[in-house]
Amino acid sequence: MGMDEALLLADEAQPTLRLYRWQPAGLSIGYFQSSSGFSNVSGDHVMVRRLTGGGAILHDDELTFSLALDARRLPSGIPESYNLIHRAVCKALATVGVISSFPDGRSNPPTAARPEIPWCFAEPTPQDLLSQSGRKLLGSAQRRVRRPHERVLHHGSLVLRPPAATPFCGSVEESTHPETVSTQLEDALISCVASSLDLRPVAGVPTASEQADARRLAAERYGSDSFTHRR
Amino acid sequence: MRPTDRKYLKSHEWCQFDGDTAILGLTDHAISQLSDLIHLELPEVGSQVTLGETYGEIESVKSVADIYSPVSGEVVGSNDVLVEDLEALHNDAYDGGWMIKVRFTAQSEDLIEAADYEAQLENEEH
Repeated sequence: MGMDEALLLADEAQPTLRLYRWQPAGLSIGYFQSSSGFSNVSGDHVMVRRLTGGGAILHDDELTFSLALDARRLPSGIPESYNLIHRAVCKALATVGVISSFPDGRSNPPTAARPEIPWCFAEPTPQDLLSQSGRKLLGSAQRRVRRPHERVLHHGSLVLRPPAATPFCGSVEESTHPETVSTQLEDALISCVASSLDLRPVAGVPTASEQADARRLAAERYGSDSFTHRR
Repeated sequence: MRPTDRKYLKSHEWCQFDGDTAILGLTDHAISQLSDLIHLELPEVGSQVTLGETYGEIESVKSVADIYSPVSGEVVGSNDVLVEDLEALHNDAYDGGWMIKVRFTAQSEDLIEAADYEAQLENEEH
């Protein structure tokens, strides 16, 4: 989380797509969520409060990504920006034989998702990507800042296998064995997201400044109980 | 035409001055970009805000955004009604949609007139 925020706030950052996994499994809660309702499910999971909003996610066997970029590279409307990114993920999934689709408009209004249903994957919104069985496959949330630059952080959690505590998640496993496609899926995700933004992907590592900011944010904010349990 | 009795920041906040008090809010453009609003967090009366820093946060479906202050000073009013009824922001961004009142000690040099703000919006669209 510290690295994601560091990438969001970086002074001269290129658009950055970061892929990562959770080891051990973790529980992230949305920026405005109360931590108190999750004490019975956190167990051994490390709980962290995200900078992005939305519902809680158990991160176990999943491919997580963050995309940090100038706001002008995305459509200005939030639904439109989700559509662009989610269509890229849909295309990447298709390259490894995973079928995904978008809701047909019959899902509940998005405001019903909070606060009664605290899990991100419990209630698809119209922009969400669904699995073959019609379950929410990709958890997503954004943070938008206007200073020092107009930038967007987009979080994505693509479920490979549903965690036991949140069995209602859609998953890649519904279509194929995740182990056999995970590397190919990562490559396809990079390629399809870059292509959707009209960019050419170049492998890289965070700058020394970004790494220093990430360490500071991890220590002062994301690793701190006062931030995690602020609500 | 946006109200001309106040000034604007390029980051889509508005600021209306009334003596030593500044009334702050978000423009209709910023609100329309946020779509379905869920949660608004504003500072308490008596707290301090700082020019150029965030004073509030607003959550819409799928996004959280910061709200920036064009002034420094003490918060002397916070729109609790708005916090409970965010639809007012969509219907009335410039009157009922005010967020906080600040007894200000400094103001941003980046505040612009309504016409300049609208010109900026036109440029962003092209």
